[in-house]
Amino acid sequence: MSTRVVGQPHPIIDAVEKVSGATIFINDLELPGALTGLALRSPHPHARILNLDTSAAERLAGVAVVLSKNNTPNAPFGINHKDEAAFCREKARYVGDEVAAVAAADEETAREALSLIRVDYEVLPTVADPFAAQEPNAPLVHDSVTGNIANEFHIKRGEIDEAFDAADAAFADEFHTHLAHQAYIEPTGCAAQWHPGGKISVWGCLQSVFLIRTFMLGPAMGMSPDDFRVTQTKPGGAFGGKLDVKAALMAAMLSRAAEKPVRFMMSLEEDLIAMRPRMPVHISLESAWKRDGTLAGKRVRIVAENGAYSSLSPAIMSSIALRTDNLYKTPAAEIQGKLVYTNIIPSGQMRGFGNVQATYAWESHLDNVADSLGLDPAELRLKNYTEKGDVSLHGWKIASCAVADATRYVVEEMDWKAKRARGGKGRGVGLASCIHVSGNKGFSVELGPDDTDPSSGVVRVDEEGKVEIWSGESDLGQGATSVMAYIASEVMGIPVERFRVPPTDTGYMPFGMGAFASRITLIGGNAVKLAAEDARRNLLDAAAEFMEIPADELEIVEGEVRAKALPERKMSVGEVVRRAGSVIEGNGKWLAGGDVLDKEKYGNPSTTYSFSTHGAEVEVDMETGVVTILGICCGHDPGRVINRLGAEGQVEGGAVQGMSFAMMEGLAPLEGHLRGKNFHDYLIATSMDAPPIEHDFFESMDPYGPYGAKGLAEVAINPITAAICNAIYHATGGARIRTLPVSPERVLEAIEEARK
Amino acid sequence: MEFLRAASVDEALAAARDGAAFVAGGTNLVPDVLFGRKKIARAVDISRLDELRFIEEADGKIRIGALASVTDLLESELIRTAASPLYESALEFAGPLVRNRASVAGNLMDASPAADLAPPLLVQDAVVELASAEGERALPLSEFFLDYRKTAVRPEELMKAIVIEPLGQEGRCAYYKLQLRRAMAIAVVGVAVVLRMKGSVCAEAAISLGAVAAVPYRAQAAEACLCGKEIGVAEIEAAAEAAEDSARPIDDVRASAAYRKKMCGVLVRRLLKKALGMPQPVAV
Repeated sequence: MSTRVVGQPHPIIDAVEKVSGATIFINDLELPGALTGLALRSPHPHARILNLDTSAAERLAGVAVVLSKNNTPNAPFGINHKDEAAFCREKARYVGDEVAAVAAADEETAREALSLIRVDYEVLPTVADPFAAQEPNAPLVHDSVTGNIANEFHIKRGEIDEAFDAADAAFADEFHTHLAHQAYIEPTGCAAQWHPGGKISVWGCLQSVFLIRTFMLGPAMGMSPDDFRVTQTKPGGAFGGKLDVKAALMAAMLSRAAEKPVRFMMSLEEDLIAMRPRMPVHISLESAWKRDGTLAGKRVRIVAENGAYSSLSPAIMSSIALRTDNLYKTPAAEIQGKLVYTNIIPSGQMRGFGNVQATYAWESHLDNVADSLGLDPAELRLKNYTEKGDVSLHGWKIASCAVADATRYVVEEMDWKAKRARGGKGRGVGLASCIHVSGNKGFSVELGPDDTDPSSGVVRVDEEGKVEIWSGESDLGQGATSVMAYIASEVMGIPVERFRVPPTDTGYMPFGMGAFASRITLIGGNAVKLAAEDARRNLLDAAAEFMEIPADELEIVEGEVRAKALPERKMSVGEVVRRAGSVIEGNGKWLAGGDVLDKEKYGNPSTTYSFSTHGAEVEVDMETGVVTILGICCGHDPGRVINRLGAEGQVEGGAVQGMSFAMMEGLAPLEGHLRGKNFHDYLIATSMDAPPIEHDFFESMDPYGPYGAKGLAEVAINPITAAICNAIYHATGGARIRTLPVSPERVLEAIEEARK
Repeated sequence: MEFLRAASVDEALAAARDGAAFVAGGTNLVPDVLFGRKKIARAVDISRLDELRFIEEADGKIRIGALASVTDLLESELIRTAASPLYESALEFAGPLVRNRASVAGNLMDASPAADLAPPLLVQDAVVELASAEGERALPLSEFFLDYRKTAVRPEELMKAIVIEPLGQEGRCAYYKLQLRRAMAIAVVGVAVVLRMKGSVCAEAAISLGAVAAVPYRAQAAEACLCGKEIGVAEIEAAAEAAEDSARPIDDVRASAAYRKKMCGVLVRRLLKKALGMPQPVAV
């Protein structure tokens, strides 16, 4: 389909506002008379609270309210397990756990008040290691949860034992990933304003303004979700970390208690110790193969580190366990997962939702297999990839797929064959692929209104011919609002510059689940597309009356309604609205395809799936283990590119963020205390570390996507870690990185191990 | 905290008579105060004392004013040609914004074991000029660092300059900072070497190591393996081994002690070969 706007390179629609400093972020939001809210956090990984005395803090002049277990009801909340409360009750379970919070006239007073809160702790043994945590005599993080097991499952699919018995070869590997933070630049903050009558307004950089009311604010505060009006402020970074934001709860509770507006802004250190970083996992893999490189079956055992509280961790573990099985034609699989409580910061979702970890492990394993079978790693993948029309072992229906094209591109672009022939001398190339959902029905059941994973949009055209799009789906910096504007612009024939997409607001916008699971382009985009089509229809119907030409003989071009046969007969869109006497509106609602998985996790969780292949070329200093990444090359199948500049940004950002995770990031817990709790010790890649990135898009034109588009955010990050590790393996003649991050020290150890 | 801005060196010294923290670029001090690592009663701002900001040749030596910034090092032809390990360390120092503010003296006064400028200054026999209301004294940099974040500088003393021996015709040198990213990174190991050659014989050898002990230091046992000798592979191996033996590193978030120790040997071997133009198995 030829398009006018879709697929072109456009700046993000609010780019000028952002780069000129005009954007109001949460920390810029001023509420007259607002109090400053701060939290007192546990300094201990595990401690019983024997006594908590807030009286001195309450007496301090300027302190409006001090909240703690002493004066708040025990109202546990949590998406999968109701294992968390606003404030520690009997125990503190990680360093950073909220013990109390104050609201005071200013920050200085609030800090002084925190220092006046007296807590008597009985320090308990720290549950730091997820394997030791399962021992019979291990201390318990939650006294009622035996063995510290938050969740476990064991699935067998296909003739798995027979597959291994009949295989020509079988291989086993173990991999370990680390605790890494989303490391967005904007520290988390929320503001709240209690209104007489009991309603509360909440502001913040939030990935889902609708859902935070239902999974956190409502249950934790004993109120109805409808009692909250939640408004998103422009995002200063999220990457998955701003879905369950406890700062919203802190601000709302303090505001309700003080009956005044409260700003609750976290420091960077608080963000690093008390948000929800990417889950660390320990993955054991076994795979069975035919001699020619056909995959016969796989066994996966996962121990995932839940941290102190669960939130979305069970779903993340499930994603880690099953996802890679759908990228290749996998005849049989056995999957076991255990999610283990520890006294470490609760882990959570970050760009990839477990798929970064799963893809690292499986795609590293695949190169080991290829090496053992004497096959080229690219050929091994090409032989086994899933294809359009396939239904995977787990029931995933592949509606569109260009992963093989992406891999062939990477192979060609990197001069793969020539470079693979020269490995082992400190320079090498590697690649890896991934599959990712575009939305996930499971979230709709766990978090949403029903099982439809819905999104809605409203498109409103005003008397100046300007268009505003209301969608319940949040922009978290990924460019979602721009994607919506381009889709609606394409549909309506009105220039992109006339579109405005305000941040999400539960006060007047239609429902959307929010930004996660790479769902917005597909699901939100379809809803906005339907709304734009409706608005276009309504515009043409109105114009038909004024112009006395049937609507089907009219079209909208460059913001003007024109007679197709007589282009000089025209009316501007604004004029049509003026004549009509009111805003002309369109409404759309789109329900995602796919199924809710059954108890055995069988089913098709997403409408469709996206793919990518990443390649990396590295140089390894064989004496120090220092790795230099010389270049990255990636091919992506996002179905269809909506905004080329935005898509390129996603791809380059994903590659660099993924490389940063692989090479240097880490909160580095030691006995429950995090060592990377500032950007001095928590390293993220700088522009100096970013290598040249080549990339291209392979548009599979998805049948369900708006103009054929699927999600791109997460396929852009998933495979790069394995691609780098595979390149290191190739460069060193067999140094396999089994534990992340790829520090020089680990590379050197792996080189020495490979020499044995 | 009391904050005074000095208009002259004498004013600064008078203000510090009972001890003070001098503030130049503030790139260490400000975060230290902000995060509660240091409590300061009196801060004296010396950042406007332009008379302390220079890089000059004097009496056959290079004199670097205490307030010379790391960027000043990079912009100095003298440093680039006659103190190239220092130049290279400045290239790897933090990032451009920090380099513009951070002073050479501040990097030394912070007394971090990983102070980037310490190893290259040590190998060029740096001497620091200290002044107080009582008078001036010269202190060799090799006696400057007493222990972890502890210097021999008295609370009332102000560093005015750092004097180093230029490399000269016979000086062969190399520098390397092993780090976990390409900018804004604390050294895992920092190594600088200078060999002063008389024909084929090494007249003087200087090897310094950073981030592998409580203080940056000269690896004298390693130097002794080279001094007065014609340097071949055996001498280099002996020096590398001695350097490795001399290291007393710790485990931290960046690397283990064992790795750091091992890297002392690897890097000293490599840098000696590089300085002498000998073939390397793997390029640095």
